[in-house]
Amino acid sequence: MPEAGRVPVLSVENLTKHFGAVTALDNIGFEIAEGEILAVVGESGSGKSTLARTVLRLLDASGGAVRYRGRNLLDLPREEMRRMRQHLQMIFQDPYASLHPRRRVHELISEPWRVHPQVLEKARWGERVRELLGQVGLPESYASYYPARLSGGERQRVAIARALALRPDFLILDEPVSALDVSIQAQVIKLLMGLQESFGFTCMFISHDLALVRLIADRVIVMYRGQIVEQGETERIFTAPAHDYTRLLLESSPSLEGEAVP
Amino acid sequence: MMMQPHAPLLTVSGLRVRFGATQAVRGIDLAIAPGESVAVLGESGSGKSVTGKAIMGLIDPPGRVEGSVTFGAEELVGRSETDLAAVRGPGIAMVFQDSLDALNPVYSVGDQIMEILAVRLGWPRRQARAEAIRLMEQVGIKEAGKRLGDYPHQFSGGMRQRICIAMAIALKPKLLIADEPTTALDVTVQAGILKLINRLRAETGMALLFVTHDLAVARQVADTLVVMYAGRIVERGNIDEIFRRPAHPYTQALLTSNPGAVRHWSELRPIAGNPPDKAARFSGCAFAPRCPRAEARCSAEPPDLRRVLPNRDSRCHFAEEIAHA
Repeated sequence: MPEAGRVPVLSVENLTKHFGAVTALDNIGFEIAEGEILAVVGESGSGKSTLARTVLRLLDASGGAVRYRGRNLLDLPREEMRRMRQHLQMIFQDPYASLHPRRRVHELISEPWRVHPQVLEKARWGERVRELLGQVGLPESYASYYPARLSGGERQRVAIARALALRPDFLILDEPVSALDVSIQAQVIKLLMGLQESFGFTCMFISHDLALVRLIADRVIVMYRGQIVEQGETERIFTAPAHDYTRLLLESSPSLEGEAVP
Repeated sequence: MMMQPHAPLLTVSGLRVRFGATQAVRGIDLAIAPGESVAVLGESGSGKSVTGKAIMGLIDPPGRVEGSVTFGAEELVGRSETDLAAVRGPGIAMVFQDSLDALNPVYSVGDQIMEILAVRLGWPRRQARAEAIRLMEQVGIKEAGKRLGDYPHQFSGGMRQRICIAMAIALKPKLLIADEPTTALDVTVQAGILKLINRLRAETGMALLFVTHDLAVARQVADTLVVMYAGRIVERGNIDEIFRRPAHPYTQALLTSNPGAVRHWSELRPIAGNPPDKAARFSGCAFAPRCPRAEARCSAEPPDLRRVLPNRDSRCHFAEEIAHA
C-alpha cells in the first residue's frame, strides 16, 4: 500500500488512449508503491496490454499523466525518455517473438548496454552476462547459443536476464508465463518472484490467470472495456469482490476443486 | 486395459503416430464407454492432440499411423476417406481450438449447418432450416432464426465455437472429440462453453474425449483422466481419485506446480527441466530425467502401464509408493 507522505514509484492519472473512435483506456488512475507487485487482470479487449504499452510510451497516450517517481513520463523529451528507460523494463508474453533469432544469448543480454553505455564499461560485459545467466538459472555455456537452441522456458529466462541487465527498479511483466508449458510456468514464476525478493523491483504484472495473481500480487486492478472496474488488496478482491464483473471473472475461473462449472 | 462397465464405444490399441523421425504417439491403449467423459491431459509435444486426430483419421501423409482404432465393431485405421466420412458425424464428431479455421468464411453459419443435414440426411431445405435453428438454440445462440444468415466473422469467438459445436452434434454423434476447444477463449467465455458441453452430454448421452493442457479445465468436464507424457499414457483413472492421490510422479508434480493448488508462490513445487524432444529415444522412463523419485533403474528399464490401485493404471516403477505417500 502507498505510505502517507511517500512518492509512489508509479502514479497514473486520468490516462486515456483512443484508437480512432475506440476508447482503449478510459480515464485510468492508480498508484504503485515501492517494492509492490500490482496485478492487472482482465480479458481480451479490456485494455490491460494497451495500459502497459502506454505507461512505457511504447504507445502514445491520448491524455493524462504517467508519473515515475514524480516525473511525468508523457512530458519528457525523447532523449530524456530514452535515458529514463534504463529504470523501466518490460518482459513480454512470447519469448519466441521477443528475442532476435540471429543474435547469440550473450549479445541479446548485452543489448541494453549498447543503448545505455554509461551503465557498464564494455570490458565487464562478459563477466556480467555470466552473472545474469546464473541469476536466471541458465548455465554459462548458453552465452554462445542462438535462441533456436533454447526451449520456451529458457528463452523467457534470457528475456528476464536482459530485462535485469540495467538493474531496473520498475518492471512490467505482460503475461510472462502464459505462452509456456504448464510444467515450466511454475519454474519461471518462482524465478521471477525470487528475483523480485532479492532486488526489490516494483512490478506491474499483467495476467488473465487469477489463480496465479492470487499467489503473487499485493494489490489487483480489474479492467473491463478500458476502465478499471475495481481495485484493492489481493485477498479482499478474491474474498469480497465488490463489482459484478470481478465476481463473474472469479466464478468463471476453473478451479482444481471438485465442483464442475455450474 | 481398464475394465469398462459396458462394451467400449471406442477402443484404441497400440496406436502409434510418426512424422519421419518424430514419434508423436508411441503406443496408446484406450477405451471409452458409451456416455463416458475422458480428459486427455498433456503439455505441448505429449501427443494428446495427435491422438485425437488419429482417432478421427485426420493424420495426412507423410504422417504414419499404426495400431488399431475400433469404433463399435468397425476398424478405422487404414480405411478410405469415404469409409471414414460415414463414421464422422453420426459416429464421431470433432471440435477444434480455432473456430475461425473450422468455419467457411464465405457461407452463412445457417448454410453450413443446413448443408450437413441436406448432404448427410437428404433433408429438404425447409426441414434442415428448422433443425439448424433448433441446433443453434440448443447451443445457446439467441434469436437463432435471425442469425441464421450471418457469416462467421459476425460472431464472437465464443459464439463461433458454439456454432462449431452445433455442427458437430448435428448428426447426433455417439462420441465428441474436443481438442482444446476453449484454449483461445476468455475465461468467462470458456466457462459458458464448458457448461454447454456438460449440458449437451447430459441431454444426449454422447461420450466425450476432451483434449487439454489445463488440469482445472479437465476437472470441470471429465470423469476419467488420462495423463500423457512423451507420446505415452503415464496415468489413467477416475479424475477425483487421481487428484486426491496421484500414482505417477508426473501427475503429482503437475498438481503441486499448479497455482490453484497452493496459497503462496513460494509453495509452488516446479517440475525441473524441459519436456523431451519428440524425436528423442528413451532407454528407460521418459520422465526419469525430470523425476524427483528416479533411480538408476528408471533410465535403464522402461516401466509398463499397469494396474496399481483399483481402477487406476500408472507407468511408474514406484507407483504404489507414490500413491501411498
